[in-house]
Amino acid sequence: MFAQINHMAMISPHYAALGKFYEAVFGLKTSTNPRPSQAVTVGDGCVGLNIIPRRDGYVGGIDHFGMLVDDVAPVLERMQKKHPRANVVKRPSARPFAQYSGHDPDGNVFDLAQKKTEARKDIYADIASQAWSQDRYLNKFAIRTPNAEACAEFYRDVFELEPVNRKAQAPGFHLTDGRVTLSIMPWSIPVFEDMSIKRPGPDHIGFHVEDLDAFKAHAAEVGGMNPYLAGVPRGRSPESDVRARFFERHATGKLQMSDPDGNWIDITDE
Amino acid sequence: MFAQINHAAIISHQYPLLQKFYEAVFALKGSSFRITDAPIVSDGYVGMQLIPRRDGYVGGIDHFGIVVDDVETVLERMQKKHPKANIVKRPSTRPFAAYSGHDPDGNVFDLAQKKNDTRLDLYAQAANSEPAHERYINKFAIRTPNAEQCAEFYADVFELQPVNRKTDAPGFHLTDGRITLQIMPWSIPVFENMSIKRPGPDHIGFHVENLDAFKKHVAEVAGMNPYLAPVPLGGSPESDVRKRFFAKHATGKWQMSDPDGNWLDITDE
Repeated sequence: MFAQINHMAMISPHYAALGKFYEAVFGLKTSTNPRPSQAVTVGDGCVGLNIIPRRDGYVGGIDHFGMLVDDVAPVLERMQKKHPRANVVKRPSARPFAQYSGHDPDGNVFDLAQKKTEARKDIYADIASQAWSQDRYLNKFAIRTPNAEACAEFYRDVFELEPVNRKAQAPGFHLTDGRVTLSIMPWSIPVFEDMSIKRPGPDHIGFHVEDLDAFKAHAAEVGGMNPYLAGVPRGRSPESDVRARFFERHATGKLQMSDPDGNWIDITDE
Repeated sequence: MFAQINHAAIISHQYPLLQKFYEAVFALKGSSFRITDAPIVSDGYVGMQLIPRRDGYVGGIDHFGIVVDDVETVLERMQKKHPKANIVKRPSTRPFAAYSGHDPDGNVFDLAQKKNDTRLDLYAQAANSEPAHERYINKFAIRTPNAEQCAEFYADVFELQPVNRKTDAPGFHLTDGRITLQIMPWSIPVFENMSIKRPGPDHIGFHVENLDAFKKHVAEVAGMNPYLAPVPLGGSPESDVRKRFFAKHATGKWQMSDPDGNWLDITDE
């Protein structure tokens, strides 16, 4: 494929505990060369997950994703030709993953790295030098955005992401790089009937696990051993029941859960 | 004025602590609408709701709210000229708003009407009393891709007026006579040498009686109780960039943050 989704980022006031959660529950591995004062980076051998300390001025939650391309030049050319409302700019050099950041026509932000001038650090350097495979891995990044169709077209045109073959009941557009799916769901206020309105932007991430029952038992055991690593429970009040059903209806996986910060995670073993 | 900005909302993983911060530092008056729900703090005019961060939501400054005489007029104006904006009725349990809406970029606002008033708790009290607080909320700032279009929307639909006083801060500054809605342009190049902030609410502004006295009070509160200390601004190369960025985009005289890192722009003018 022309582009590979290989980076996801979330911002958290409990970033260190959240790193432990993704290590303990999903078996993600930490960098062999971490930078203790910076974000925690964990990876599945293909995709790196940055868990960024919540700094002043930012919101906490799932924040952005990133793609790796051979060369940024064609990306810029395609964007300028057909998507003038999108943009890409060069980033500060301290970042472990990307040299560039961009946004789609709705302002959803993505990082961009190119293989041509390799500058990846932390877990991304580990993945680049020796990718590994594991049973539990990140398989989806989902966005909810006002102009979903225009954004889906953007990712198809510019990054050559392909529509997912398998039919999903979940609304929106589902594009893949061959391994990771980018789900682009429509955002409008009426979809949030009987629940608080979620702002447009990243909505949830997805994981593939080897066996759903084994995974459920493992997640429960981890939460039992260490309550700081338990996911935020979903449902059990009228509005949170609405929210649980809402997520289920908009997900493509078989089990929906959240991490200790409340970030939504969609799990499948298919 | 046709519309009054009188509601702001923050989502937080430590929402009771944030309530204490706004009570202690800004002397806002607190209330728990229902003990299991989001508490409200108020300056007697604007109610600020501190919402527990629930699964699926992001933490931070979330939305603002407007009260109008009659929602019908708002709907009519929106449908005529701003088809990309929308308004819908809300669940009836909310203390402030009967409706929620969004501007052409998807920035969310709550909407209440005086006709068939459904406001509860501190919002109902504020509707029937004169505000007398020395420290009060005076601004809600948004950063959004199509700032000009959004500013037109708020001017057309809610009759917010351009602020008279000139400022170097970028964007559009509209007022309801007391509260300013600052609508700043969002694009990636503005975030040079710092992480990109997502489009959406950016900061809240406060008016205080005297800046020196206020700064001293903030320091004293933090000294007495470190849990109520603001997140410090600056101190590393990137956070210094961020601090200058906020100062450049603010209209107040001093910038700080709350214990969650939400940006606050303070003035005594």
